[in-house]
Amino acid sequence: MTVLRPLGFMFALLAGLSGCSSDAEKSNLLKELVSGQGEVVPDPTFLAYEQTGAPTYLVSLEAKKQAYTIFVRQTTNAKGEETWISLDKLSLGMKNGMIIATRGMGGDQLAGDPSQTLAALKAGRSGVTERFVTLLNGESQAETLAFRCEVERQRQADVDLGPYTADTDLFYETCRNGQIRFRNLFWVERGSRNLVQSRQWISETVGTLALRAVPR
Amino acid sequence: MIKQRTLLGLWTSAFLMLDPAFADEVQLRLPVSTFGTPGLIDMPTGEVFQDGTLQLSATNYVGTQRYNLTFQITPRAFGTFRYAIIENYDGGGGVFGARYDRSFDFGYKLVDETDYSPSIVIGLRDFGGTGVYGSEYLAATKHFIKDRLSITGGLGWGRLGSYGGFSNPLGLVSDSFKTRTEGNYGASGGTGQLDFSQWFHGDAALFGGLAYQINPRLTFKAEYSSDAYSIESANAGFDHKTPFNAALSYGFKNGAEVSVYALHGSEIGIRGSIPITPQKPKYPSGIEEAPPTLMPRQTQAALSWDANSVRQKDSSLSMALKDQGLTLEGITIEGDTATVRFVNGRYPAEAQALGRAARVLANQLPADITTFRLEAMANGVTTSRTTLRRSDLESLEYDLDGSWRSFARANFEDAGHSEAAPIAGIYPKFNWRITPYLDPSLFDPDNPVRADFGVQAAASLEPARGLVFSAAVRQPVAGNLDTSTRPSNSVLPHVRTDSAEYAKQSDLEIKYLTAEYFFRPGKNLYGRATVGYLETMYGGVSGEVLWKPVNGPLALGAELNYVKKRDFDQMFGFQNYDIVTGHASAYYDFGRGYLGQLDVGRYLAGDYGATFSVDREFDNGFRVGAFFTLTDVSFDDFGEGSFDKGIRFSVPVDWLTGAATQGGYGTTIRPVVRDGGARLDVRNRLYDVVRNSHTSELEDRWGKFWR
Repeated sequence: MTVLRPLGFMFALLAGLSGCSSDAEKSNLLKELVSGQGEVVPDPTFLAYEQTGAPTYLVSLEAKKQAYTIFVRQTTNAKGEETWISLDKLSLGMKNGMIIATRGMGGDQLAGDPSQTLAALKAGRSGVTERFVTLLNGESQAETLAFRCEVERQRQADVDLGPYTADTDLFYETCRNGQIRFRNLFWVERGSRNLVQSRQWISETVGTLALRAVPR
Repeated sequence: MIKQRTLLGLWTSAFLMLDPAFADEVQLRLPVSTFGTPGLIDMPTGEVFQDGTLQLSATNYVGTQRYNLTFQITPRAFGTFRYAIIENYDGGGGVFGARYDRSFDFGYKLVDETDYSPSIVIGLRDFGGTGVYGSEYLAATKHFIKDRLSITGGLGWGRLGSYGGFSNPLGLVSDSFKTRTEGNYGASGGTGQLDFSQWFHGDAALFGGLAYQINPRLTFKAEYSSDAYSIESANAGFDHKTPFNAALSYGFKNGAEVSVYALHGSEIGIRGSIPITPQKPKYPSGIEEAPPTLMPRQTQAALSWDANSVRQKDSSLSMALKDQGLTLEGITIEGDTATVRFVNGRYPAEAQALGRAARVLANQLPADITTFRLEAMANGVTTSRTTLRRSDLESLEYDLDGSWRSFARANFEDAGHSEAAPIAGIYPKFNWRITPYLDPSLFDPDNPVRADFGVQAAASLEPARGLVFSAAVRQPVAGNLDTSTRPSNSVLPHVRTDSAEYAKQSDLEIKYLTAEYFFRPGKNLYGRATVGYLETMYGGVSGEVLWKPVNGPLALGAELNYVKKRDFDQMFGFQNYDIVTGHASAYYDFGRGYLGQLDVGRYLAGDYGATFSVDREFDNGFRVGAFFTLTDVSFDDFGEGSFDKGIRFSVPVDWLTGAATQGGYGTTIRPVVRDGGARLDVRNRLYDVVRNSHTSELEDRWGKFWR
């Protein structure tokens, strides 16, 4: 299993960080350097939720070959916002299949508001929507971007989810502001109107995540 | 001026919509001169770099090397430090006549470019050095053809007025402008004093040129130079055939450039530059693991809450905090309020530690506790108390404006006395570390890079809160710090100029061995007492008091030390030089990252004076600063350089690696180290110990609260 989490260990070595210490964390840097990528010890919290049969996503990082991981839903708050955690200790904020936050990916989305797009997808209609994204920038400040997006139904598509094949409508959501353009893809299951598969843009640093629901 | 271009709609595939590589390519490349400043080849332009950029560059043509560091201090002002090696500059042949020259430039953009008029920069080249490149200029640049072509024209004085010069137009203002004292850019060399009386004096000359961006990678540059290269022609065999120079530059994706250029029809040179953008670390949000998920109230942990066992070192609350790199030191619960005292041992941004501590508390404490008061600590003393409401955490977790709203709803106050009852068994604390170290000494007058590399072992013991015993021992393995052959010629007590002796006569070294006590004498007040081997060259006693309100921009401090010079072997012995030294200090946070500091007092050589410092600290902690010290030691007695000055940097570890690790790498570069204006280098001066958890710093990195 390749981890999604970016690794900065070469830098750590160059910076002379490696060494041994009474602080186990600092010593780990060296260990992880020697063993290459750092051994992924599955997060026990992840395993606990995974074993209860909580909903699961298989998630891959577009920009990095073979970088994928598994997320499981940990909790849903009073506002219907869900937190999903991965076996390599990343997390996603989700709402009805739309990513509204990421944590631990190097160029995180602190928050997002894709509610207009979600409404269009749920209603199965094309149209123009507004989407908002708050990024954590390199100066540790929150920075909110607004995008104008066009949601368009492309075609019917079958998505093989393993145990069964979902009959879906494929939608494109093409967004832009002055500097950035991206396109999200959503496969919306007919009938349930659930997002069974998607590709969602996170930030310029991270790029795009591809998500697929794993039927339990 | 850099104009942001709109990204072209380049769709490489349906899945990969944004190609960051392309985003970089369409950005206009700003030419860098062989002096490291915005410019063509030798000539400057009327442009400045992007705010905050650090531009590192090196130039080499037969017999001359230049290493430049330019910092765009503000959107309009830039400063440059340069180390040049010019063979035969002083005649004499071979390396013996080589000039090792350190110089500073300063430039300021007077006028922005508009659709109809150029941007204009006024600049000083080599204004505080020995005058090898001493010159002043006004340069104007205008962009055409969608910014691909830039045309520059300018007027130069000093060395930039040495070819094709004419009577100074400023002579109309005053006749005194018409003459420039010989030697200002001549071979004799100045003393490092600011030579105001010579600026913009003497003959002036016109220069100009163009830069054309052939494609996103290649730029062609041509210029008419007003530099006659007189000294190099006379002494170093430089052949000045034409005033025309030309260059071809190749730009890389990250902004780095390599140029090949032809100089005055006789020399071929090569130049490379790399820009560093402090505002843009590789991993803007860090790569540390996700924070604990905020769970609904009445979770299992909260239901199994046991008010009695929480004061134990291994309570589930302590363990959950420890999992986040936080050490719980105290807790008191009264009514609906929990007050906790904790040490953040992991996150460079204290706001992130607060955010994680708050989420752990929300997951661990019973539902009826609605207010969290978090006491931050540094070196055993409480430094601030942040009050957060549980309901705000719950409502703002994924709020689009949750970062600012959570900051606005938090309250920050002084924590002169901790209001959290201590947890049993936290002290004594013991820590140790064995690490490699690199001890550089940059740009000394004979060798640009000296450094020692070795192994350091450091340990600290805290028997009780605020009391710290610490030691560090070093074993150099390799290096050339001990190869300096420059005996001190200082007429002052050798308080710093003996530094090479410390490298030469030591093997295993005690870097420091101290007992420190940190305490809070009162509201907004902090105290430190240190005794022992304080630094490489001095041991003794040091005491400091700091007044710094949590919410204010001003801090005041006073420090008094009695120190004795240590033996060169850096073991336990002392030499027979001792001194009482100390300073009164004022610190002011001007906002937008600009920090000022003024220290007035007595220095190590017994001289009285003041140090003026300005730093620009980016919100992420990347810091670049400059300082100078004037004391009652005369410029002549001070020796080369006339007075102490320098620039300094500090790069946080998390900026480099993305990992949540505290600390950073920094160094101070002085053109020359002398004995006047030298300050004791005691560790843990209070201002930097304390400020990280104060409101201004918390605000700077508050985006990390939810990270």
